[in-house]
Amino acid sequence: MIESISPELQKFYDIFEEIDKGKISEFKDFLEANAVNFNLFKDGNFIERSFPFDMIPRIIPKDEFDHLEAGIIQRVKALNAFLNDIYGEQRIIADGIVPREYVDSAVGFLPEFMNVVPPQMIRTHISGIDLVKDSVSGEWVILEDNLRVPSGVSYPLSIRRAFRHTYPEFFESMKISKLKQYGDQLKAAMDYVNTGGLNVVLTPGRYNSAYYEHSYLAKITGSTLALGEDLVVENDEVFLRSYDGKHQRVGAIYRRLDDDFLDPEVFHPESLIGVPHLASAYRAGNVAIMNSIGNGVADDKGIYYFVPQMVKYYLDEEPLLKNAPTYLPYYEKDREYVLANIDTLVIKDVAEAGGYGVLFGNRLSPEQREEIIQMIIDDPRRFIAQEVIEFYDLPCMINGEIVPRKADLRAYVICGEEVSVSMGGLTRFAMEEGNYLVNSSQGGGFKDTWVVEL
Amino acid sequence: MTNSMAISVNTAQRLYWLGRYVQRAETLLRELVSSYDYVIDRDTDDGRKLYAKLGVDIDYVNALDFLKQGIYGDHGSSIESIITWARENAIETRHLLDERGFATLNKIYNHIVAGRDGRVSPTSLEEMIDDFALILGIFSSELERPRAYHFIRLGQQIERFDLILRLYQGVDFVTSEWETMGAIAKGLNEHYQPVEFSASSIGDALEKVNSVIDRVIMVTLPTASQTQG
Repeated sequence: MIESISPELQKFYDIFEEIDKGKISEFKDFLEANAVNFNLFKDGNFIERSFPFDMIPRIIPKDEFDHLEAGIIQRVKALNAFLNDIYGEQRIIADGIVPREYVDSAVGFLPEFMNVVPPQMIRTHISGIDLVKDSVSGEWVILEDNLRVPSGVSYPLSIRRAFRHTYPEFFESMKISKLKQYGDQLKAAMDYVNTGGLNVVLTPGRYNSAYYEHSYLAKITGSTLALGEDLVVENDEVFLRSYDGKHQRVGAIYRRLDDDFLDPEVFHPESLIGVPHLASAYRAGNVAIMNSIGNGVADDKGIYYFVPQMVKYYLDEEPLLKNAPTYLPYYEKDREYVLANIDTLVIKDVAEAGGYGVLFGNRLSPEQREEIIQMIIDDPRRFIAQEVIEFYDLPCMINGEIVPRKADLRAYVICGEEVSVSMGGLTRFAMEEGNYLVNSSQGGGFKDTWVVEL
Repeated sequence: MTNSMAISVNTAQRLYWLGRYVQRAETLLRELVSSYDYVIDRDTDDGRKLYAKLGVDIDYVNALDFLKQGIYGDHGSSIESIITWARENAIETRHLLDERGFATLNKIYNHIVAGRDGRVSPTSLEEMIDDFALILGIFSSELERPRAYHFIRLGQQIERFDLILRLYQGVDFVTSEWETMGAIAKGLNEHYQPVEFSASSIGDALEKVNSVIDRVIMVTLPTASQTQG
C-alpha cells in the first residue's frame, strides 16, 4: 500500500512531469563511471556491483522529519547511556529494568571490557537506525538500532551530487534539506573524541563489500585511510606507519571492521585485518575507537525490547518513537500471548543474525508449530516475538512504470559534542512486488531521501 | 593536536604504481598505434619487434589483429592488464584523487572491458591516449593534496625512464632528467639518499631506475627511537 500523496510529493510529481526523462540514464552512468559500487563474492569470484537507483525520492515533509529526528536523537542518547552503564555500574540491571540474563547472554556483550571508559563517554559515534512507516498506524516504527558498523551512508551522499547536476529543477523550486554537512559533522565527531593525533578510517581493504564507502568517508573527513597492517601499537599508543619511516600518533579510529576482527590478540587470533594490541590502547584510553568495542550488546534482538524503557530510565522522557510491538516469552504475560497468537507473529532467535532464525508463525506446519512452542517453553529467553508490520510501499519507477515497492529507511546519526541526524538517509526498496527484503545483498535498490519544506 | 593527513606505506606504494601504470598505458598505446601503421604496409614484423623489447612474444595475422593482441593479448604488457592494474591502484587511493581523474580512468577501464569481444578501433585508441594525458593533467592540478600527486609523478617519471631504456636504450635522456626526478624524491622524503646514475649497461641502468622508490618508501619498520608523534 502506498501512502496518500503529500503536498511535498505532489510538488515533486508536478516537476517530474515536465522534466526530460531521457536524462534518467545519467544516474546509472554516474554510478558506473565513479564506480559507486558494493563488492561481493559469488561462486568464488570477486564482483563489483552498482546499487540500483530509483530516481523517485522518498520525500519526508519537514515537520514529520523533525519529529523523527527528535525521536532518533533521544533513542541514540539513551542507547549510549545504556552502553556506558552496562560497561560500568550496571544500574539498569540493579534497578530491575533489564534482566541480567539478557545482558549476559547477548552475543555482543564483552565483559572483558568492563570499566573501560571511552573518550568523552561516547560509544555510539555513528549509528544506523532502521525504520519503516506502518501503514496501519501511520507512524514510524523502529526495527533495528545498528550501533556497530552501520554502512550505506555513502550512497545517498554520492547520488545527491548527480541529482543536482542532472535535474537542478527540483532543487531550484523545492526546499530540500542539504546533505553536505555530513562529512563536516563526522569530522567534528572524530575531532571531539580524538586523543591527539591523526583521524583514521580503518578498512579491511579493497575486497570488503563496503570498501567504496570507506574511501569515500576518508575523503570527506580528510582522514587517513589505513589497513590494519598500516597501524602499530607501541606502549599502548597507536601509530600509523608513514611511508617515510616515521610513526605518526593516531588519536581516533573510525573502524569499519567488526569487534571480532579488530585485535587478533583479543578476538580471532587468525584475523589478518586487525591491529595487534589495539584493544590495550583502547583500554588505556589512548585512542578513540568509533564505534566503541562491545556495542553489540545494545543492538541485540533481546535488548531491543527494552530501549523505550531506557529512554525513560536514563533521560526521564517519554519515547517519541515506537518499537515494533515485541513480546518476550521470558515474561509470563508475554509468553501466554505469544503461545496463543503464534500464528500471527514473527518469532526470532536472538542468537541468530542476518535474517537467519526468523520464523513466520503463519507459515509453520502443525509439527513445526508444536516444536517451536516447546522450544519457547523450554528456553523462553532465546526468543522474541513480534507483530508483523504492514509497512508502506513507496512509488518506484521500474521499467518505465511507477509501481509500489516495500521500502525502509536507515537514518544515520552522528554522536559528537552534539547528536545529529543526517537530513535524509538511505531508503532501500525491494526489487519485486510484495517482497519485504530490501537489503542490497538481496538485490534491492536505493532512493534518495529528501526532507522537504513547503 | 595534529589532525593532518598521513600517507601509509601501502598508500604511497599504490600512488607510485598508479603513476607508473598510467604512464605505461599511455606510452604503450602510442607505440601500439604507431607500430600499427608500420604493420599495415611497411614492416609486418614491427609489432613483434616492439613487444620483443618488452620481453613478450606475440603473434598476429594482420594489423587489426596486432592491435587486438596488444590490447587484449594474454601477456602482462597487454593494455587491458595495465589498465586493470592502474585502476586497482586508483581504487585503493581514490580518497586522495580528484574524482574526475578517477572517473576518467574508470571509464577507460569499463570501455576496455566492454570491448573485449569486439573489433579494436585505432581511432578509439587515439582518444584513449588523450584521456590518459587528461588524467595526468587532472591529477597535477589537484592542489589540495600535493604529496599524493608527487608520488604519482615520481611513478610516472620512473616509468618513462624504464620504457625509454627498454624501447630506445635512451641512457642520455635518463641522465639529463635524473636530477629533476631526484628533486621529486627528495621532496617526498627528506632522508632520500640520491642514487648515482651511471650506467654500464641497459640492465644496470634499469636496476638503478627501479631502485629509487625503495629509498623513498621505507618498508622496513624503524626502531622505537625513530618514532615521533
